[in-house]
Amino acid sequence: MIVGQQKDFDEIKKMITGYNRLLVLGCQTCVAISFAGGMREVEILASMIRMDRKMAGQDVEIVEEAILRQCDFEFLDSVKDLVADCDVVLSLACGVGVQAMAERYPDKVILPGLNTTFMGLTEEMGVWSERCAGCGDCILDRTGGLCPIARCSKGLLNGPCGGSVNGKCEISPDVDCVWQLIIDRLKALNQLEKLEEIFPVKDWSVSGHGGTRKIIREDLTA
Amino acid sequence: MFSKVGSILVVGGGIAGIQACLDLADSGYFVYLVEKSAFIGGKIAQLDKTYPVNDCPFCIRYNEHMECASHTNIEILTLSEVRDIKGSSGNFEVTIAQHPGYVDIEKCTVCGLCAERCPEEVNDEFNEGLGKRKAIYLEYPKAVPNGYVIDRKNCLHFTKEGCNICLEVCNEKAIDFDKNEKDITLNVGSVILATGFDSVVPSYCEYIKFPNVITGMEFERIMSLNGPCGGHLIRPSDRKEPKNIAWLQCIGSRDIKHNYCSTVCCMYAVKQAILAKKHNKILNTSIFFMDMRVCGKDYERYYNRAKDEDDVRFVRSRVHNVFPVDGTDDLLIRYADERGKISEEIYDMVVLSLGLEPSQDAVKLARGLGISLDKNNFVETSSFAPVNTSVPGVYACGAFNAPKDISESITEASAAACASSLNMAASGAALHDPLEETGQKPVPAGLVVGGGVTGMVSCLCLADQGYRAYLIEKTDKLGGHALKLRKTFKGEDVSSYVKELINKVENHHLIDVCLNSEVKNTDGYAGNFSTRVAISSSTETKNIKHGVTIMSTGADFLRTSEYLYGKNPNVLSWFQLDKMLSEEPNTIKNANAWVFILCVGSREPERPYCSKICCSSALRNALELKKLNPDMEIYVLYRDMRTYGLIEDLYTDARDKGIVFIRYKLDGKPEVDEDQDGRLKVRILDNLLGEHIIIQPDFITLQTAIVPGNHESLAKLFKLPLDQDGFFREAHKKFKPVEFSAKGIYLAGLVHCPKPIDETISQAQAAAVKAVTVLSKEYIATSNEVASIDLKLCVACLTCARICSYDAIVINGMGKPYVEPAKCRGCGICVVECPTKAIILEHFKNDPILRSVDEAFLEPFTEYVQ
Repeated sequence: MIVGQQKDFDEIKKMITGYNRLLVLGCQTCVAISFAGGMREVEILASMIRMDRKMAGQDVEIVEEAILRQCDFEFLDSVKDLVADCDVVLSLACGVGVQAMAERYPDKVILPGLNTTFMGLTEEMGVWSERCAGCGDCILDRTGGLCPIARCSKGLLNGPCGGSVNGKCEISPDVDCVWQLIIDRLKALNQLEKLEEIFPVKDWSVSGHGGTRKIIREDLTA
Repeated sequence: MFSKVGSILVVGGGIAGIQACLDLADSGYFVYLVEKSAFIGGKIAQLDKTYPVNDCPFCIRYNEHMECASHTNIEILTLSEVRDIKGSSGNFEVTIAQHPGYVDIEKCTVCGLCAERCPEEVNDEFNEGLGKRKAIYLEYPKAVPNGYVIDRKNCLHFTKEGCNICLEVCNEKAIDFDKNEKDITLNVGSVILATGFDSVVPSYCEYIKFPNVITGMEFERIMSLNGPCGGHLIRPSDRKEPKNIAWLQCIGSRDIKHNYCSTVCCMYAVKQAILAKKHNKILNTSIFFMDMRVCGKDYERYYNRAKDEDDVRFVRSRVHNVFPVDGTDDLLIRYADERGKISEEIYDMVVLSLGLEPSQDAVKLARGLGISLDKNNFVETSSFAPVNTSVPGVYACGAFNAPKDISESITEASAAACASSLNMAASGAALHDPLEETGQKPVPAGLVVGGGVTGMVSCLCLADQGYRAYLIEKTDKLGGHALKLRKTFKGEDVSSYVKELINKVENHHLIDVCLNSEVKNTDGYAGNFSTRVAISSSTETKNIKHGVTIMSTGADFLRTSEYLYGKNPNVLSWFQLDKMLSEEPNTIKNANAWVFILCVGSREPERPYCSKICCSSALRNALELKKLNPDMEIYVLYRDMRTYGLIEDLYTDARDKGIVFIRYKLDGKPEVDEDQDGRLKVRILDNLLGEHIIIQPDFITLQTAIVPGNHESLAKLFKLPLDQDGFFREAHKKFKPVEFSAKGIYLAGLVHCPKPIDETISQAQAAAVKAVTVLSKEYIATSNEVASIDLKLCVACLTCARICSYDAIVINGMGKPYVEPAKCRGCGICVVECPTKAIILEHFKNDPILRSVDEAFLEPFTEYVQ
């Protein structure tokens, strides 16, 4: 899923300066799961804004809503009236949702309340970590199911490097060296010989370096 | 809820009486609770806080008081005294005199107008005479039953004839001066005496007459927020804040008239000193004591905290006398320290830690019933039937059996409830009538894990009440560590008791004993558990359905390498000596000198608890050696002699027989050496002489610590918490000693903390009666206060399932969470955490709560948080 993180309150405050009728719009999918933009966070953020404005002696009118997915136009239509009634939409969706809103409501200012951080998973309650960099050419078959592009600090394809110490990365003793994990796992799977294969130069053109990516499936398009 | 077949009388409405009533009522019996005062609750409401948790006891127990008052199976008779009990077990006829309170409790609205207008002011017993109340009064605002009463001996209507003020002001017409004493006759099957204790200032304490010498209970009232000083720590004479306070221990305990230890005073003095320091940080607190007897779960830690963190001063001495300081209200204390040096110190205030005596009325009642009492008037009980009196069908619990603290009184109360319900079952009294089925029935069986004495007693309690019991034991035989024990501190033969117990368990048609067995996994909720058990001899596993679980896996003993143990054959553990005494006494009979070392591994930094049984076991064996050979020199090396309660007798006896006691400190442990022929030599500092002495014993016995068994995997399996020492953590240290916070699972015996066999057995009975309160229900009770999930809003993020502490939320086949109502405890954590706000807790929805918040604040709060 996409993991997001709410922006600093000060940054949000600055962004909404001058707007007095806000729609704080959450997204109940990925960013809800990562506790950044679901209904719960919408209510908390809206309360914070109200309190802040009240302390500053300023008026504000806030509507709180969350929809199932901000990345689908069909769901966006359900808040048509709410969007019409506000000066600005503070979206707590990922970057995809914010852009979808901007595209659907071209006359409205849509502001991002989150930083879209990475594609990852919930390790445990309150801990998320990155797993995929969306490189467009998956190599997990050769690395024991652990991705060195997303999880090696240097994105090495033929690791580990000399900075791997006691299974940890040289950037911090808290970061696992993914190449150590790859070796451990290949060993456990009895596939250590895969490490002998040298990765050729990777084709990065499919990872976005060749321009914005788009997929068109003729069999599915009308 | 249940029919009134088979009633039981509980005498005494203190904490033990209330607990016994609730357990019996919840098991389906009808109970009469007779209380001589106007209100139930006993002494607990007077206490400011309880050790070792520093909770307000009344706040925690208030629900139980209310439940007792409203339970359909309990009838409370206050202002009542038992006049006579005739008949025998199964059919007692009880005559009760009920004095009138002159106020109709149904009509009284507790408006307080009567007391406001009442002209007669008298000393308030609830505040130990430190405050005043009127002749018409309510003991304290939340007293149960919640209604005013008239105290006839002080009421002017009766004493002076004619005052009718309260009668005139009462709008509800609740007052009736024409009420008379009523005689009530009850027919009951069993009687439980829960009459508690009295605290009497002994005659040698003439200094109690000085105004700033007060009792421990008076001190509780002074510190209490609802006390006469409004929670300000001040001294009575001039209402000034004291700068230093002394506590004098063993007042009315461990003296010639009361040759027993009152057990609770050390801890309550430590507690009072800690709390007093919270009132006034620069206060100096000194506790004058002989032995610090803090043997209970987490008590040692509490004592260490007082010493090390709260800077409470502990002075080992018995205070000779207290004198007034001329021209002031201060007090001079004269005492002798361990070396006999006389010192004097001046204090602003002195608190007497008064001992406990059986209540005089109870003694009279017990004598009338023909119940055997000991020389101190405590009920004579056997260690193996700790709540049974000498009269069949009559049980006793709490401080009437021996001085004991709240948690043990509660345990005994539940044990007495268990014993009396067994008696009722035996005498053919039927339980409740079946009701129409409106839900799932509990599985009428219990799983008991651990086949020691505890587990076996629990199994028998369940099976004798008609429930199936599965006893899971990992070894190849029943009995546990009790097989190694020889005698109790009272001298009763443990081995024959254990043999008989095993025999009963093995032959009971409702008990399935699974030896060499281990629990592999368990699932379910109170009333409906399912557990898989593996038997080591076969590859097959057994699936057991049960309604309750009792953890009784016991504890272990420390394998020490201190004091040449394991190197010199004459350094023995206590159970090796036990074995020698019973099997080969002649080999040790001719020893010239014997040394007992206490606290081996206990009360050490890595094991900061007292193992509780070692002092008594050492003394019993020492006395036995003395009997074998009166010329044998016996030395007991100890840190504090913890012969609490009635065990004090052993200590007196041992000193009379010439056994020598030498105290050592943790930083001055005895040194044990051997010469090349293996002859032992012990070097220890004698505090009386101030010099090291050398003893050359033939044998040394080590009283090694009790250590928790290997519970981690079981704890994980059953999702039960362990405490910092590795024993199981009960739901509440004081008030729920045999329960876990998860419903339907109970604990008993040494899994809880070290304790002697009598306390183990009463815990086993207590756990069983708690289990019966679940099993005896017609259907599995579920609370309405459970979480419910709006699946339209749920995005299956799994947060709720991950964080639920009770495993009440599972992900169903549709990939959506489902709340199991019987497991949900209504804690609300999932409601708060749900990122899509898809969960609500029934009865605690946002709207009504925010509306009441709005009403509480003048401006609408919802303006901020909608």
